[in-house]
Amino acid sequence: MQLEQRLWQPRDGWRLLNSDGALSPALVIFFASPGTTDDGARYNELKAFYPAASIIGCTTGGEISETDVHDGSIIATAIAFKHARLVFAGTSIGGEERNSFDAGVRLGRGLPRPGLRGVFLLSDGTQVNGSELVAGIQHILGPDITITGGLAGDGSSFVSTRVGFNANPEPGKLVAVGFYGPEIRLGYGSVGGWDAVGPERLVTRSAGNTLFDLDDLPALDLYKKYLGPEAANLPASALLCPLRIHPVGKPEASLVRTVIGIDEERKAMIFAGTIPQGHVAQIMLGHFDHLIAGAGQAAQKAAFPEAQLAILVSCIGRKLLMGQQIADEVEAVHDVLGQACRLTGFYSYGEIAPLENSPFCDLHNQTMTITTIAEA
Amino acid sequence: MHRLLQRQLKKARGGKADGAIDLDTLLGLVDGAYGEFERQHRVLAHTHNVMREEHGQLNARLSRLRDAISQMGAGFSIWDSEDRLVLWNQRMHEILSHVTDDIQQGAVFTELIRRATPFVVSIGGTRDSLEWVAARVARHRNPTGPFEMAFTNGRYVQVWEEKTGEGGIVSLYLDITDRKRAEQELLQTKEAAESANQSKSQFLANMSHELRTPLNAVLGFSEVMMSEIMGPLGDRRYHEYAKDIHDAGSHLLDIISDILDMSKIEAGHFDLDAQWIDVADPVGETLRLIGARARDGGLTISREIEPNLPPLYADLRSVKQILLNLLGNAIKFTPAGGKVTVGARLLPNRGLSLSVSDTGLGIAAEDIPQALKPFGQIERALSRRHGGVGLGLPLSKHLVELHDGTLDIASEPGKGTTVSIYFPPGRVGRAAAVAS
Repeated sequence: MQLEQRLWQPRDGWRLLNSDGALSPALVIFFASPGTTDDGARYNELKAFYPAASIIGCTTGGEISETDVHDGSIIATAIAFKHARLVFAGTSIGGEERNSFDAGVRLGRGLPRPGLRGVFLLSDGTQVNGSELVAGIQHILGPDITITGGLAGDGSSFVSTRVGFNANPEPGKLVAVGFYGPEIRLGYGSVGGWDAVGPERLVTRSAGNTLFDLDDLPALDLYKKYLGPEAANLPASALLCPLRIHPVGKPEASLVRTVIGIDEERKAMIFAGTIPQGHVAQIMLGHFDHLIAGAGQAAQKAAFPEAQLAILVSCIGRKLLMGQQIADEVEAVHDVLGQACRLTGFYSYGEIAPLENSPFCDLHNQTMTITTIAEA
Repeated sequence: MHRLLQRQLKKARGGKADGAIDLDTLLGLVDGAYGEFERQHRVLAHTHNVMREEHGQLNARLSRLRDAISQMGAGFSIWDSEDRLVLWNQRMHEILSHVTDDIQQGAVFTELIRRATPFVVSIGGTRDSLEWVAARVARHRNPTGPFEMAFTNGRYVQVWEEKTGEGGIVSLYLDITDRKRAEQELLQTKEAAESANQSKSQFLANMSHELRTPLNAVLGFSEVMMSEIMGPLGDRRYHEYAKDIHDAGSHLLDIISDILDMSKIEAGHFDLDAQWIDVADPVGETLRLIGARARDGGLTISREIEPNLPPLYADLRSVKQILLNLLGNAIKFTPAGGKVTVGARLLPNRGLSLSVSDTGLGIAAEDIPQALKPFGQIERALSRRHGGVGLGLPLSKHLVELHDGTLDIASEPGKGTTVSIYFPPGRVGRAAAVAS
């Protein structure tokens, strides 16, 4: 497996970061700051660099290259495989097609099962229910195929995200790449590092992914109390306080849920996943050191000595909280994986990886999720 | 140099180690970082305040909870996942004070139980103390519902245990000594009453036997006198007196036989001699015995026996006795010109029903339960006029129940009464009874 990485920045245009030599890549993955790809010029330039490659990518809430976190850039990684074969599946969502599970089924059907070792997935980040999407793919492929990836980002705006597959990125697109052959090796790790603080509260009123009341008091009021001066920046600032939920008496079955919208009129909060009534909920806060340590743990889970490339999909909420210090978590990952492993990645609206202690994959929130790739 | 400033410089050099520093970029990054620090500081300061407020609220909740627990009538304790005592109330201390003085923070459940062993009477029937400790600890770790413990000081405690969300155990101890004593007293009273009832039945059985022996003499000799075997009695009135003695004696014998049967049933000594019978047989036999009395009373008797009835597995003597009782009552309580009907039919569920209907006085619905009690004959005036001690119906009911059947009374005062007895399908044969 050979790699080449290029970084585009407004001031300097494309710059070669590293290269294993003249290579003819089968795959180019790029992560682009919102707005940088709108005119199609960057995509055409990439196509010119790597005319024979399949090019996939998405918009972000921040781009990761080496140990740097950028805004306003594009990071592209070209990968040439010696043995491994790739199969791509693309689909769209939106308009008449609103069902994320069905979109997952379409992607799964595009990836033949024999020889399949793993799937990397990029999806629109605002029109898709990530849990349903992953369930749809697993419905076709079964639980023993590891699916990792993420939902595209739109900075901290949460308006429109784009995904591209051999075309300039557009809203409502999804692409999955299947890795085939015995020589390919994949690893993954997904850890949050947020701390559940304050009292446990009961979800006394909710419907689907809308949370109305905690302990019979409006959830939005509680969030505003926690956010204080940051309440003015809702819903983005709610990413500073994810919600941990679990069934009564079963803290081991905890899930982290992220706020994706608010309803001022009904004093309700809308989350990226279901909030079941009767569950115990606890607000979480981020301690920088713990979040950075969490990223390091994710790297440890994903690490194997020969790993050549690590794709980091980290939550936009972590970056909103830590600001420029967010690069510390990338450095923590780099410290674990070492010099030999190239890094790329982006800040996303949702990370996809298997659940802890379960073969089933799901959408995660607020984590650092790492996919490591190597070829024997 | 701070790593943040190093990164900012790297970016200001356009990522190149020897690149020229773009001052605007550097200032923008540094300014941004100051802004972020200020914002993060605000968030942290605010979070600190929120935490302080929530901490206060939690403390208030905790103290309310402690108050509630200390006011409970039951003993209360919480054990953590390592089975160490973390919270308890004074009442728990009181209930277990004679067992152990080690109720304190961090006390280990198994050790407390081990020390309590000499003060416990039994649990689950075992008297082996090691076995008991093992059973008690196992039950504590996997609660299966409330159970009772008896202590050597005579007190009883009911224990409820439940798992907590954190993997510990919450225990409730309820002193149920008063309730236990009341239950024991009730049990003793019940046993005494049952024993008295048993004695009564035994006494009646003995008495009936003792009464029957002299009655045989009365009946025998009055019959000898009536038939004038040893010569004429002389005055015609002697003959009538002898007949009166015989009738009264027969009546007395019937009563004594009923009492004897009743006491045997109540004492559980009545044995059925069940065999396959054709119900038409006891019906015919009974009607022959009682027909003359009906005609004397000016009554019509009719039979409504379904043809080809299957055989019934029953005690023939009991069935006859039931029919005699029911027909006797019907004749007794139906005025002249009335009608008595004996019926038998197969039910849709293949059970068998026998019934005796009359057009007589009838019984009010509220009096039916009384009529079914021994010696419960309705209305003393009625009984004086019609004779009898009121054993017929209750005895019949018992006899039917000994056959796993039931006895029902349907009646309306002034219109008549139908007494039906049902035998369950299990006592009814498949084929039609062979004509005997």
